[in-house]
Amino acid sequence: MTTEEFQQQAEKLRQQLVSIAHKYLGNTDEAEDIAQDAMVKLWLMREQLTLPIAGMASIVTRNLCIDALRKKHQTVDIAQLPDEADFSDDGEQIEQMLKVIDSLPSTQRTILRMRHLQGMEMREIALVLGSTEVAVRKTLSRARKVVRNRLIALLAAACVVVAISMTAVHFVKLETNEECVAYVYGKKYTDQQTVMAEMKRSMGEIAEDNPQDEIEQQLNDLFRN
Amino acid sequence: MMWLLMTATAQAQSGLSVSPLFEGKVIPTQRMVETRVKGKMLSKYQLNFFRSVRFKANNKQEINRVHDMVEQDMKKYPGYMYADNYSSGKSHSRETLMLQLPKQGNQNRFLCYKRNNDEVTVIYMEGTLNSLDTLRELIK
Repeated sequence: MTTEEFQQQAEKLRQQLVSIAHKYLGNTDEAEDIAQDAMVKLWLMREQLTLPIAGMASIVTRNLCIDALRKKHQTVDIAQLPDEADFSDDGEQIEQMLKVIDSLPSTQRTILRMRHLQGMEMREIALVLGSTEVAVRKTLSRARKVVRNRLIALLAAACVVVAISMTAVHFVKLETNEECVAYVYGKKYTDQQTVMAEMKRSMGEIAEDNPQDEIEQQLNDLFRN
Repeated sequence: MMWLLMTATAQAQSGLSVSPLFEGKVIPTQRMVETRVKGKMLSKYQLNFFRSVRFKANNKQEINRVHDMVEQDMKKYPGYMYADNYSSGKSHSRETLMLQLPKQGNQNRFLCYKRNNDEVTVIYMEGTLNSLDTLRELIK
């Protein structure tokens, strides 16, 4: 599409894009801004565009609106918040994945975002980036592979940390916690009453003093030898 | 990890000559009554670890072996002791020996041995308890 052709389309296209943005964002200034951004984006890729461009322009605008909605902070009445236990860890996983995506090289990151967050078709991505569908597919594949490997590595690291923590807790428990066990002729007892009774009996054996018995025993010892 | 493993598996009374008795290496566990208590349950005795073995000896050799082990610990740690009818050379039919072992950290440690004919009791204890006299009062 030439510059002149784009300029001819621009005015009626702009109105159309503003009305699309209004549907998503309401009658706000932000909708106007989104329409403007969409126009800029289309302008930058005008050389790859062919008439008619209304369909492509609608998709670009819709995706920009969705991005804008995602960026907005959602507020919820605190009274309506569910209990902590009701939260799943999906949010954390998604956040982790977004961090991994952000760490990708810029081309891979852009394509991955366009494809999976903005829902763009391969053809559209290729068009926006001035590339070919084959190249986009290859880059996307590499990006997915990198994300998958990094997530697996993170998961493995998390598993190791959990395993170490659990082992440490186990041994610290062994070291510091209560213990109450008695083996009575090979039979194990762990109930406190039995164990404490056995303990007191052993203590009693040591503390027991019986002078009369002792004298008799000493006499026995004396005469036995 | 290794440190934790070693800490957890180390027995408090390890290092004593009498240690094999607690591990069932002198008298089979099927013939002993072994008690092991740790924690708050012992607070009234000012202790935090208690381990005892009690058994009926089948022969003189068993008695002598345990007597010799206790004897070695007495010589190894010649600290404060309470002995009743106890002599180093030979085992009497009734004898009592209580040893206060060197402190481990801030824990006082005690080893008690009593023989009443063929009934033998050996106890190892740890805690803030400061003397055997106090212990004798507490367990009476």
